[in-house]
Amino acid sequence: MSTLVFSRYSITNEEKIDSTIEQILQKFQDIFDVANVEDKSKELLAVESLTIESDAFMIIRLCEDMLTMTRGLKEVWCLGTMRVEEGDVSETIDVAKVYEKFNQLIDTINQKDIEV
Amino acid sequence: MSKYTSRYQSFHSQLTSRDKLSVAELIPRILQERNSFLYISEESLENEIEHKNSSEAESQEPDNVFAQPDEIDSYELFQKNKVELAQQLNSALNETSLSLDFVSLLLSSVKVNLGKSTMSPHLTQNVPPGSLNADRLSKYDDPNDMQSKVANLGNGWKGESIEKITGLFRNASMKLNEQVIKEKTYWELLINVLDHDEVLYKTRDPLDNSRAIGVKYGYSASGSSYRDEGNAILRKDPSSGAISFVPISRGRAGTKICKYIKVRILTKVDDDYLLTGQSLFDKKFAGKNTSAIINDIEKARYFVFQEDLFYHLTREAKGLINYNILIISNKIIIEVDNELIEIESVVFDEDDEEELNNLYQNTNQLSSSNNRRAEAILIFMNLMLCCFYKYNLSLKQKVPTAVTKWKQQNSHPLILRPLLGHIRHELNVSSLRSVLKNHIGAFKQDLELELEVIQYSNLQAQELDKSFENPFQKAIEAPCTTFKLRCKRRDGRVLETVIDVTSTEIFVNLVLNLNVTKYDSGSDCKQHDNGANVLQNTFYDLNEVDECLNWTIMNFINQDSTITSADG
Repeated sequence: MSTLVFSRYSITNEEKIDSTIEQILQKFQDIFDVANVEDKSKELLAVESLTIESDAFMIIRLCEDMLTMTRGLKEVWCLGTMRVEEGDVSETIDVAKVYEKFNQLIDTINQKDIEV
Repeated sequence: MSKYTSRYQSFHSQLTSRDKLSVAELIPRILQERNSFLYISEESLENEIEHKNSSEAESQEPDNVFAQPDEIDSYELFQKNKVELAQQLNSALNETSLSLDFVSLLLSSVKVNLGKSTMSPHLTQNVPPGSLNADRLSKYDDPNDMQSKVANLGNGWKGESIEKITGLFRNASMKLNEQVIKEKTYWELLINVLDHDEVLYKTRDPLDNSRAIGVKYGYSASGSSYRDEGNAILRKDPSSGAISFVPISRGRAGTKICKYIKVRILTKVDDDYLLTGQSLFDKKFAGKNTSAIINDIEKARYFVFQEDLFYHLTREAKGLINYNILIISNKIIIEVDNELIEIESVVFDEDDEEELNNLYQNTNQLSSSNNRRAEAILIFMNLMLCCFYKYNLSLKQKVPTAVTKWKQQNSHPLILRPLLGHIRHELNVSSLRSVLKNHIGAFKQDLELELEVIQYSNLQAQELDKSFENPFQKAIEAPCTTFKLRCKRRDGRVLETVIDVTSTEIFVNLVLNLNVTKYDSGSDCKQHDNGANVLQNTFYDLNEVDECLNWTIMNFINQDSTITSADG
């Protein structure tokens, strides 16, 4: 159950990361697209220079989002999973040995070394 | 028309009120009319009056010209201004609506609806929308010249923007880089903790209610019912991203006082108790794993167990106060057979190496002779608490019924009782052995006596079968040692006395089960065949057994063989 939930969350999160990266690249490309002056009108140039700034802010915000997302992903990986150790289970406890040792322990307690 | 009448009225009133004016009012008035007193002389005034009187009949006009600006009173001025303002407002409104109409008409060619909504009804009726168009006219004659100027402006603007975003990117990347480094440290440490097989969970920091990751270091999930569940927060240091271990108890964060349990054994020597052994604190937290955080977790885990253990010990000790057990603040003292066993909860002080290493412990042979026993007692107590945890856990895993719930709430670990029980049992066994030896000594002339001792006879069946269901059976069951004393008469009759030395369920009360059987011959006795039960009783005191046994054997010796056989 937990692995199912984990994988679903993980997949959506990874998809989100992919789309964020895509957006960042797109915005970066946009900046260069509008960076040229050519024979544009004054108004368009003014708007474009503001677009450059807003795109830059957007890129920064998306990068910050990425950090949050990866943090969430790590949290899920660390807290939402259960590790199953192999080999440890097969090890049987030697009950007889424990029994013997424990009885020895009680004997040690009872045994008085000092005679008054 | 109205203007004229009002002016006339004001002039008339001025003429009538001239004589009433005060000097202060009069002088500025004269100054205004004649400009200056410099040009006024008596003669000129006389002339003027004469001239005035003669021309007064002719016309009033010249006077009227002088007086006109002053004759207008404030009310009239206000009225006049008001009318003017209204006119100007009207024309402004007119012009505005005209320009609005113009703009709307211009706009209607591009956005029809928007233009229509602001057009005046008159315009919409007479002019079709979209019928006005405009072209931009350049004030530059040379289009190339204009373009190059705009291009320069554009270069400037864009250069500025790009410079600005470069700065933004630089700052943001520095900030993000710092954060990434912090995150890296944080998660590396966390992975370290996770690799140590710790249980991590999401929680909130009670300090500022921010999100945090907690670690379960205690035994609450492993069967412990102690009030301290052993939760802690891995608090992130906002400046470096490093994590620190902050235990939480009762919803509050903070450091705890670490206490560990020390066992001391004092032995009575010449009416004085001397220290003959004590347990060693040999827990080393700084193991091969050098991570400080894991160290902290291990330490907290160790001390929460010790705390839990002492809590259960005191609870158990309360029920055993009648059996020479004392509880003094953080110390439990068990007095048994010339010995004091002290179980003390000691505050852990990392700097006090002398205390921790027990430097003064092994000063001489006497003071260290019981060290092994003290260690064994400590290990025994720890083990028993672990067993209790395991038992609790098994209860939790069962289907919850009223019985299991009751058991969960009313289970208490067996720690002190078996400890004390075994020590007492050993004493009882040795006392009984000496009693029996005395009997053997006393009757060896008349009888052939044979003593067999089976220690822990209650466990023998298990040991023979090699079926160890519970390796800690010895501590759970009340110990039982069986003494078999066979008395053989010269005529071959055998009296077998079986004494079970055991205790009640709480381990501390002595119970002696005596069972005496008579056989006709030694072979019958070995096969437990044809035996006649002589006596079967339970005693709670060693002296009673002693007396009873004495009487039984005496009776056996003195019995006539014929009567005995008839009895048999």
